[in-house]
Amino acid sequence: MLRLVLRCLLMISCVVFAGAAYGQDFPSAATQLAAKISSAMQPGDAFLNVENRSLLSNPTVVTIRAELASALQAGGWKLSEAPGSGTASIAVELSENFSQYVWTATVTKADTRAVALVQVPRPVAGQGERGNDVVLTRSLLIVSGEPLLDATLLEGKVVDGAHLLALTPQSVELYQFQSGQWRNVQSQPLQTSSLPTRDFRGRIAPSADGFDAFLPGLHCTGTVAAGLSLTCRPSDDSWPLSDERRLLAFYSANRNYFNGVTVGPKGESENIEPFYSAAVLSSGAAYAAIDGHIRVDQPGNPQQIISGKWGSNIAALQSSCRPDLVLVTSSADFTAPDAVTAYRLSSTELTPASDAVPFAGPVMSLKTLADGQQAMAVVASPSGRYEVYLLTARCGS
Amino acid sequence: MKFICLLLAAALSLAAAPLRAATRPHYGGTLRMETRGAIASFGRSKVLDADDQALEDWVLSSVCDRLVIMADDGSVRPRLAISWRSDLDLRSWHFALRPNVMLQNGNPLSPAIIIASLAAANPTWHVRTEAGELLIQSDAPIPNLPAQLAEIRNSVCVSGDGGQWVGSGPFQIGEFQPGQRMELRAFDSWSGRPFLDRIRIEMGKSLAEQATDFQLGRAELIENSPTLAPPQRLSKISTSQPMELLAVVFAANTETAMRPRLRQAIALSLDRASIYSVLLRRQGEPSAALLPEWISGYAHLFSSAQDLARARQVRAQMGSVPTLTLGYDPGDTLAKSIAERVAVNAREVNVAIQPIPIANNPRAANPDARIVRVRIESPDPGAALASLASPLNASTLTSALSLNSADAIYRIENNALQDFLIIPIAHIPEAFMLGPMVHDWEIAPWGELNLGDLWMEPAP
Repeated sequence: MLRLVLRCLLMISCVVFAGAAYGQDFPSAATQLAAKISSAMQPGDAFLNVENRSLLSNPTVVTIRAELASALQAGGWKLSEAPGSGTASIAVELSENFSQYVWTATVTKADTRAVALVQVPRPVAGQGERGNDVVLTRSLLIVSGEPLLDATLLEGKVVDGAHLLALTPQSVELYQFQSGQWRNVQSQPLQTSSLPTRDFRGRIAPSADGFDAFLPGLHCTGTVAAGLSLTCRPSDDSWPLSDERRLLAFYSANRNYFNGVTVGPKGESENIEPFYSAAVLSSGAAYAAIDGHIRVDQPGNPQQIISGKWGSNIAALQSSCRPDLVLVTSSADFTAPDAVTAYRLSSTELTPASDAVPFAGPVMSLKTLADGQQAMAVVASPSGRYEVYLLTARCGS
Repeated sequence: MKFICLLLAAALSLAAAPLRAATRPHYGGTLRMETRGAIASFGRSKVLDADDQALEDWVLSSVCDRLVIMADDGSVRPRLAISWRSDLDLRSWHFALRPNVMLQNGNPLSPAIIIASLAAANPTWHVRTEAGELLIQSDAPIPNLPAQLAEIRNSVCVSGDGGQWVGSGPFQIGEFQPGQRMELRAFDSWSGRPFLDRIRIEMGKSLAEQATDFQLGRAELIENSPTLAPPQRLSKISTSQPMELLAVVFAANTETAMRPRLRQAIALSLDRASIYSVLLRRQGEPSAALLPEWISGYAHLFSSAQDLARARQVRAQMGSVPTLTLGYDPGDTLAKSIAERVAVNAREVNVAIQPIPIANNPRAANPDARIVRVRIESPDPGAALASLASPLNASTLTSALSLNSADAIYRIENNALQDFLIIPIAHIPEAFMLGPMVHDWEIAPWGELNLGDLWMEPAP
């Protein structure tokens, strides 16, 4: 009796766990299938066999089988340990199609065969990280179902009451850090449409009295003092390449890159090769050029080209032991997982300074925050959600 | 008003902007593509060869938009419709349309054009505008209507001066030589300009010709086949889920139509495992079901195992039977091999089958059966099963169109296979070979291509 009680408790805990892990109501589905089996054939002696043809884990399959057996017994079936003559055979297959689980039961007794099916909604899952040498760490700030183009920390830190601004193709989203988590407290539509583009990019950065948001052909200014307010106008103004705004560049609104015209801190203009992103260093900058190379432009030195296949997103990151780290994404297609690695920059090469920090989907945006010691990455996860990560470097292994 | 919002699309305009690459895409370049299928004219015909059907679908999905599209996870995403809802009875569906969409001929895409396209493709629907929205009504509930609208047959197009399709998609049809060559040119659509400048499609090329051209650097995108070894040139291979049905379909007006047991004996004699491992080189899956497992989730309920003992038993219940003719497309080497294998298997149970090429062969105008290859066009089980009705001459399958219960769809499929007029053999995937310069290649599990987001690395 005690064993039976313990088994029931284990079964219940497993079912609750499996259900929580998958967000599914497997017990009800099992009950529903048992009911269909009972209506397809008169209950009697039967041998139950459950096979898994889906990606369900073994513990989950065990709990589903237990639930199903229990429901069949409650419906009048007497389940035997082995098949026998005069015993019905109930062959259950836990299958799936591309959008849901499909559980089938084939009930056979003598020459009679009946089939029952139920379908169960199916969700999705995610993954982790590691580091070395300089240790690049990531922390997840927010997750959004909407496409995110960029994000910034208004106060530059994660403390109670701090604000995070996220830019989508249609709106600016205001988050506030409250009781240990970011809460979306306000959304402000852009009201004006930006130019259409297949590789949508944008930039949002704090300003002296609020923030600026840039989209292709559009410049918005806003404040958060008394709620989120926003004014947008058509514009081809230069975009800040990092939140500290030391270097600005003009974006090609009908393409997906900066056209190569940059504006320095004293308003000086320079014309370089078109590029996707830049790492603004303590002196000079490195650019992810559209030909896949990285070009390093430092005062007093001729421009250096670091050839190779680099990702399109780069950003600078300062740490106490290694200044001017360059964060670089991988060069994979968007169908592959992405990663960010910190590199040391010499005049002619980039040397890895950290292990790659992996992401399940492509990094859409990577930029340095205003203090130079934090970077922000927007990642499009395979589940379709967008995730904003804060990246920092610490010294030591 | 008592209606429910079943699905609300997330946002206006570009909310469904596609994911982008870790390596950002490059603009420009011409992709050279070769296909077995050919388009001779732009009228959508009812029944097409699977290869022609595939090409037509790829071109249509690049040139014309649909109200919605289906994502790989089965969710429906906005395109020309930005949001939608249904009344409680699922007979009336309301769609808010994307504003300011322009066609490739410079005219705005009006609701009247959408109504005409949808009404032509779906004669039982009543489509009109109401209170600024598009209203689709049906006499019967259509719970999966958004999934149906995501099918390529529901593309919204008008006819251009030369009869060509004109839509609002990322490419417009340029030079066209019927059955031989077609050029797709970039169009600055509402969803943004595609990365490629143009796509040149050489049509009607055999797989061997394609492989040679790929090897010689004359094409960057070709079809791959389970029956051919891959070329040596550095390449990427990409495949869809198994989405083409290979089956023996018996004619309803011949002597065999009156002999279900004869057809059952042939079905039981089939050695699908050998066909799968030898002829299909283990691509796809052997199957005795109309829908593949990844679409239905229940294909395993139809036993695909060879059962010679039972086949002989069934055959023994009949007297002598005449030699049956099994037609195949002479240009399709896979169909020919399979027809020959079916004949070999049938001979083991004392049924004589003669494979014969059917194109331009008067003697074979009406074979007892033929090898059929049908492209399944939707991942939605109900819509997918219904789409097989016409090519398989099985009208009962159309009743699956508006169903979303796996149980009900299974019963329709099971009933359609009871008389063995259709004997499924296997489901095979669509496969492509891409040159190393081609990036961000996307093929949906059901074979739909996203050529708008494809880009090519500039030549070094």
